[in-house]
Amino acid sequence: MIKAETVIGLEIHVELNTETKIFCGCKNQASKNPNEYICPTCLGYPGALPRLNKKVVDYALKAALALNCEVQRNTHMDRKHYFYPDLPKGYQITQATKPLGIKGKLYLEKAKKTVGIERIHIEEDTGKMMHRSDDTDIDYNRSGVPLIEIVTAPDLSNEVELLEFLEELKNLLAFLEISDLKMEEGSLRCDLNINVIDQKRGTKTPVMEVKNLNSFKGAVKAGLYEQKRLRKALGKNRELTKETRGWDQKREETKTLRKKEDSLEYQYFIEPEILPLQLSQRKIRNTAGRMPELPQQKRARFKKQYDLPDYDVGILAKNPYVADFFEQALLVCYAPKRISNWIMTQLLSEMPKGLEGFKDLALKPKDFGKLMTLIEEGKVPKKIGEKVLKEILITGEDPERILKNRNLGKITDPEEIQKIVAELVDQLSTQYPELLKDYQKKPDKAMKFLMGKGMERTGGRVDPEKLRESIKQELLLKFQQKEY
Amino acid sequence: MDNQGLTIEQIQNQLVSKKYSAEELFKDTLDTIKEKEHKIGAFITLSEEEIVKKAQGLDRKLQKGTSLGNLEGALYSIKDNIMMKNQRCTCASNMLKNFIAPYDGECTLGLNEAGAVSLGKTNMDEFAMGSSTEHSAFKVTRNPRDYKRVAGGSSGGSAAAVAAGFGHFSLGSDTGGSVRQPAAFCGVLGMKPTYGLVSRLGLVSFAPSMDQIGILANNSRDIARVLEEIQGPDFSKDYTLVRKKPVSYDQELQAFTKDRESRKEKPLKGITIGIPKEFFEISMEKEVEKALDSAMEAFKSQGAKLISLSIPHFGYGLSAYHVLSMVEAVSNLARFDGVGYGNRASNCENIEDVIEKSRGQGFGEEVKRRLILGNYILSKEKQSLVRAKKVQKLLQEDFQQGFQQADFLFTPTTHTTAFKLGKKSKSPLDMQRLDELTVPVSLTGLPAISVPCQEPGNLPVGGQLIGNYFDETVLLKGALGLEQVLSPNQQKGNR
Repeated sequence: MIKAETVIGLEIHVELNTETKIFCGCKNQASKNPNEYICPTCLGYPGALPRLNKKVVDYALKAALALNCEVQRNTHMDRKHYFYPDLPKGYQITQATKPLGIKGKLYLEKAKKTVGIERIHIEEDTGKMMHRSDDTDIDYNRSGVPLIEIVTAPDLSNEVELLEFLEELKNLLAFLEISDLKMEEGSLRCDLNINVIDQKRGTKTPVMEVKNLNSFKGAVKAGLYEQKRLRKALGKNRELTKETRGWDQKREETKTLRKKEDSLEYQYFIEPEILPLQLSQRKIRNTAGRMPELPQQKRARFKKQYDLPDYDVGILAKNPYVADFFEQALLVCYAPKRISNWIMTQLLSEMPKGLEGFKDLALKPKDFGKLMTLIEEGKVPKKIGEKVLKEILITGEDPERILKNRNLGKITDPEEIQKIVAELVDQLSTQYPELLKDYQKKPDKAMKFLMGKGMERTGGRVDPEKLRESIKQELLLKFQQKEY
Repeated sequence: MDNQGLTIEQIQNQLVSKKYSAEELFKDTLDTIKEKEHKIGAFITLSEEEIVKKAQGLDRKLQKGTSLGNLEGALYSIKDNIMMKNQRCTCASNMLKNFIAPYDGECTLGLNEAGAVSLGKTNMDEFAMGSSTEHSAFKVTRNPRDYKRVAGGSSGGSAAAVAAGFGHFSLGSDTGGSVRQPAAFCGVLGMKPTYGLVSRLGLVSFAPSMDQIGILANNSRDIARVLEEIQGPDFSKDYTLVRKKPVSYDQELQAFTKDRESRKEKPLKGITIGIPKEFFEISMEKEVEKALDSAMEAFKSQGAKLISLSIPHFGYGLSAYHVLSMVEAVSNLARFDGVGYGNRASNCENIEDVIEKSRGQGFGEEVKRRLILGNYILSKEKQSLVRAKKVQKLLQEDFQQGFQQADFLFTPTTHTTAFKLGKKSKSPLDMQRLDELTVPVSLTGLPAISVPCQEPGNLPVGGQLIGNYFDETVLLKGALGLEQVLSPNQQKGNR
């Protein structure tokens, strides 16, 4: 195998989470029931007309600006023609000739590289085919779901950069709140364009397009697989033709879907049923002005303002929900590192959906802050804090109320402590008669045992020092009793 | 029953004055249909069942003295490429032979609200492609003025229905002249409003950048009334070009007439009519020339001033129109793939087979011819698409120049009178030439109306009045002025 440069570009489809579809009033929502959200327009019925959802343009504009694109103020929709059962009109309404955004870029901090964004455009999604053994059903719920397609320049040179780009892009889009970004559900999809070039010999392979990548991991694996395959072919001077290939997740290999010679002629032309799009300078300015703080800025600020390590910042700035949660909790309890640690460990371990879960968390950041303060001030031991946290995550209750109602608050009353300890020592010394003897021989070991039991009995609600003091006193009392 | 040639207003007056009942009126129309429809073939679907019931309802209303809606007492028909909920909508194609419309075309909502009653769906050239209604998959429509001749097309069924007395008006669609040309052949009025004035929702698209719903009727007052009811943006502003307020065309027309009469002025005094010379330089039948001359005389006698002007890019219109319309047709007819609805071929091996066979069986010759040409242009001659768009712009400029000098333009609607059945159906190019005078208007989206210009007894000839955007009113005034001279019979009792 020869050494050769790898060149990767991406085409990313992002389903927008608008309330309604792109050209009709149907709900833009996934459903278990096929064909629940359909109408003459998204079924491509004769006589039905599209009307462009303004929100879709707003969302696409947001994405274009966030990716530093030049916005084409006067644009239009085009028709892309091909016959396929899941495409009810025989054409897809898209933007071929004049995409909304062009010449954008996204910087990769780890690779220290700027990746070009060639274009961002608006288009509609197709229906979904469901194959049965002898028949095929079509579900049109997805037909007319708004999409933006983002096409990068072929600026990525290896799988590390590929992964960083995908994560950075997803991170960025998360802050725009324009998509659910769920790869496994298809709201984020990506196709890979890859070829390899041998600069020394001046040879290169044709570009391969790889589809059906349904996870970032899959994209990386498919990239590596193709890179290996193409390098081998280039080394052996084997002639290849341009192809569209599919990633087989199970077998971890790519397969030919179609050769480019029989590639389709899409016969694009301007969509006559939708008026040209005109974006005013003012609208663009307003959208830019309302742009949220984006992940790269946010990470830099968190790092500086809260003195946090890169790792923490990377997680806290993954999506707007966790970032907001973090900062709002800080307003109540200003302990950045402690809050960050708790979010990354205790909190995330209790959240099955991971960082996504911050979007609809029962736990309010204010309550989380309160709990952190209680812990910080030593009023609640860490173990209890964790218990309380688990409860709020389910009930959304106020932490102080939980502590009170469940008797989880610290036991500070000396008499109460004394009473508990007296009971404990009484019981244990009957259970383990040698305990008191042991205490005289190896006081540390016995004390450790008693402390453990004491903490267990009180659920950690007693300050360890006070407990230790109380146990000592109690034992002293026992010895005195024995002497008499 | 003598109600031929009456306006809807006059009919309403007679209903109110109990000259006849609505039931008598509607039954009379049904009798006329029974008598003549088998010779003409105007309808694809006739829906007579409800009509008598609706007449009785109207009679009860008249009994009570409730005030009438704008179109109450009026019967109409509608081209079979416009949806009426739960009725068949075939586009005169085997592709949609059994297609039941799942919703109403927006233009019909206004008509229903104004109380008009539908007789059914009219015959047409398949998917509105054609100029003679000989390209219907089901039957040919004959010209009520001469059964050996064509009714014109593609809204031939609608024009024939109005000419034969099957109701008072009809809705058609006009992409390149499909309302105006059959109106001219059948001797009725046919208006194509400004592109975007009437919602196209529910009209099966042929070439959506030019498709427009139009009105066929026997007089300008009725056209005005119907236009009032179907104009946007009453129902949904998303599918029409929004203007501030709907226009009361009929009231404007009446007010204008009254005003002129009270001042004892000629009806068209102060109006300048442009005669674009290029429209008259093509070879024309003698009959047409003669009728146009007499129409121009009539305009003058009504006080209008005629001036000659030029539409320099007229000659490119036909090619530009056919390039654009065929290309758009390829796209709009792509949805008929046998998958979701429409004709589905049986015994297919795979999906390609389903699509190929369903389309192969479903579409007729003329549609296929245009699809092949359109595909050819899209894949091999894309430059002609660019040039066609240029012609569109140039024509727009030409007309705007014209409207600086004239209130409206006057041209022939077609260069011939209705020809004999089968005479041109073997020659697509001859057939295309029929659109030569109407397509410049279609390319520019301007409003136009074809008005009968011939003396009764002869084969009808249409004159085309072309107005500026959204100036339907001046066209109606011009049409009324012409009517008063050339069809004085229709004017009886109209004042």
